[in-house]
Amino acid sequence: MSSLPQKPSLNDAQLDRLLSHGELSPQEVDAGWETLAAKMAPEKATSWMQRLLQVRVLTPVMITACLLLALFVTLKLQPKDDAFTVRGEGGFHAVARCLPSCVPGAKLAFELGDAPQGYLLAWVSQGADTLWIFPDAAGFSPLLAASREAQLIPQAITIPDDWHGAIDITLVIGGSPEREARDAPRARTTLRVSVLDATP
Amino acid sequence: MTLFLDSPVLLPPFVRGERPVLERVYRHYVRGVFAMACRSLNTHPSSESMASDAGDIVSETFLRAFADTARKAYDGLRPYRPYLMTIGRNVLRKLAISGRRQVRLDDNDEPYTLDEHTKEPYEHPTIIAATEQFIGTLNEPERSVHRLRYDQGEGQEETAKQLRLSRQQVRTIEAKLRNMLRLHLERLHLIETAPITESL
Repeated sequence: MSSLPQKPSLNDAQLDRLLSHGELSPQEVDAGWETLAAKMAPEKATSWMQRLLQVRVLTPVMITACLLLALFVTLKLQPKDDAFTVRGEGGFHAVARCLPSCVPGAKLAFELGDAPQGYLLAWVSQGADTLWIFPDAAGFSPLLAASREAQLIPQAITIPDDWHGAIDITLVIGGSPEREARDAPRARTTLRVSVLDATP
Repeated sequence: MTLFLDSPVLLPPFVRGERPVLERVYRHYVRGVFAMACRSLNTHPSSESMASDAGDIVSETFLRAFADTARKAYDGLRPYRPYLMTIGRNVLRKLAISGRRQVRLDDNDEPYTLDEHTKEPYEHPTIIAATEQFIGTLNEPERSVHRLRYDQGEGQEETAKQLRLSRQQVRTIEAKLRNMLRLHLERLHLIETAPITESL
């Protein structure tokens, strides 16, 4: 065995070469592969990575989309128990309850949720005219307590005989029971009630 | 070990060009191609790196071997190494024609007969023997990491997967192996003691 002429100092790459028995070190092999992979053409659509993406990512996305679509269709097709439609503008939730059904002469009550404290004002705009529901002819407007829970307003009205088809009702929570309170609403929403003909 | 003859299951994904299989093929044969390139350039592997002409030849050889036509032309019935080496020699032939470097073009797979002086100083037989002695003292999982990474040239991810370690743990063990080897060689007074760097 020949003698060591001069003590060398070793850097990491040389130590790696020694550990690799003089062959390319794993770090060099790694770097070589990365260089090569960067030069190679992108993988085709049938690569394992894309299949993995299809299975792990695209499939759940498609399933979620289908579920959302199914939910949407179900909600759209769900029969409305009282033939009402909420057309909210924000502010609070409102539901119209028709008893026994939305026909002239039946009772109509409001169920409100997430409403602030205040007086309920409600009206229907018919051309230039305004048909006031609350305050009613006696000047009464229901007073609501602030509540996130749905609260049924006990003062139901009778659906007028001249209501047919889609009727838009504006609901406002005001600071006073007077009609003028609608100009400074605390919350506001709109309901559409589909009123059917009473006769078959 | 002939990769495709021992694991014929790898052939279809290889022909399809799936990256993990290409990487496996690369890691399996890269050292052989690198050695052939060094031999043809009349240099010793220890004095060549992947960032050299030999590295360029390796990269070009695998680029051609992994191209669509070359992958599909391989039938999997014969060993892949001669097929790959033929591609490598074509790359070398092109380099020879360019006249950029003197290239030895033969089918000689003989071991190196180069002068000892062409080796790097750290590749002295005493240091190599001491390194082998050091490798013999490794415990688990150091020995496993050394076997997979330094002997077999596996990637960090594959090594981590096989040993049920994280990639960070594999990296840490590699760094530990380097430091332990440096200390071992320093204790034997075979290399210069690395200067102590003080961190601020």
